[in-house]
Amino acid sequence: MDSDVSALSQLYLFRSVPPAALQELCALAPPVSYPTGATLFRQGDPSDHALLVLSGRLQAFIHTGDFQRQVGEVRSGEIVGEGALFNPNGARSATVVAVEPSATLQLDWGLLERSPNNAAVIALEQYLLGTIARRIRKTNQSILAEWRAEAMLEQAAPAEAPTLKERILRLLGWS
Amino acid sequence: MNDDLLRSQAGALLQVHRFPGAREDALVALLKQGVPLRLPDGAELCREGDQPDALFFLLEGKVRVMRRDSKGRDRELTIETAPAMVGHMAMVDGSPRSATCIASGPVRAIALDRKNYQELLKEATPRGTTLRRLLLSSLSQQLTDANERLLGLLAAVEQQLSGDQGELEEITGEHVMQVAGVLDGWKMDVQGAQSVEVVQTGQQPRRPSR
Repeated sequence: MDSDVSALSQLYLFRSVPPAALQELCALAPPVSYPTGATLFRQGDPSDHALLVLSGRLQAFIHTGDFQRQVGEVRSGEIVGEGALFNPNGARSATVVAVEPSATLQLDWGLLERSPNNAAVIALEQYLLGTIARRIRKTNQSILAEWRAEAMLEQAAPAEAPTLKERILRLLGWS
Repeated sequence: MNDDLLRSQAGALLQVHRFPGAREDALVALLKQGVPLRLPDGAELCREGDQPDALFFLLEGKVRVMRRDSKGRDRELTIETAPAMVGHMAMVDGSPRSATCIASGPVRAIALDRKNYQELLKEATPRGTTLRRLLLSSLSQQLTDANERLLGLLAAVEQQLSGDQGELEEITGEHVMQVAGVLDGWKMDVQGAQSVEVVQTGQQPRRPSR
């Protein structure tokens, strides 16, 4: 456990957290290690816990029909699957795979219930607030762009209105 | 403000936003840190573009949430009905207000100003925990709702495209999948039409974005 506390103390999100609080977090959050190639989450599965990555590297993939595409990476100090902590009846939005041997701590609803005043838990919550807020901003900007395209359709002459293909490209940020 | 109203609306708000360790008395204690407001019909709670100075707990009534489109017209995003939290996004990330909120009928609310908000966010107390987790529960659900909305828009677009030429159909499958990455909040880092690498929001992209 001392090595886990040491690993946590190196993470930016725990920069102001006393060692005793990190020790309590380690006692309550089971450490889980994954070898290269292991699947941590599978898209569509029920989501019941999140993972704090202590070391290693994960990649996230989305499967749609016959297509699979990498949609992101998760590295040391980041959290994956956090939706499970506040929307426990949801489903995994992506498949997450270890592309390097990875050490993690498993976080779940029970941990938050048992130790609400723990400084490390508070630091996690503050970190997650910033992370989720950034994702919302990004998604809302995409929706706003689509609304603007709709406004152009209403007012522009048909020959000048963006085609559906152009609207999709705009939505993706390709134009 | 009447304690019965606070307690009943605190309980109702916790039915909307469930989170570990939710306690009605802690939320009431949190609400009592704010300033009660009474707004008549048409009064503005906050304005798009302004710097955030408070978040609001809607206790009675409704507010229209409006945003300007590219032509400068106000468009209604949604109607928030009590009990609800309003204006919290801008407080969390410090960005300007993304919408204007206008009372639709008489409204009673509580405003939690920036000073109290920032102090509570750090508190290792039941009311501090309640504020953090209420925000997290709300933001989490908001992201899910926004993603579903975007998916609905794209599904409608794809339906129209399915009647077009084969070239568009081939592109659409790939594009829809990539949009799924956008829906999950992953940042698009585009190198070209044939290859797209998506990096997680908040990370530095390894190659320049378009």
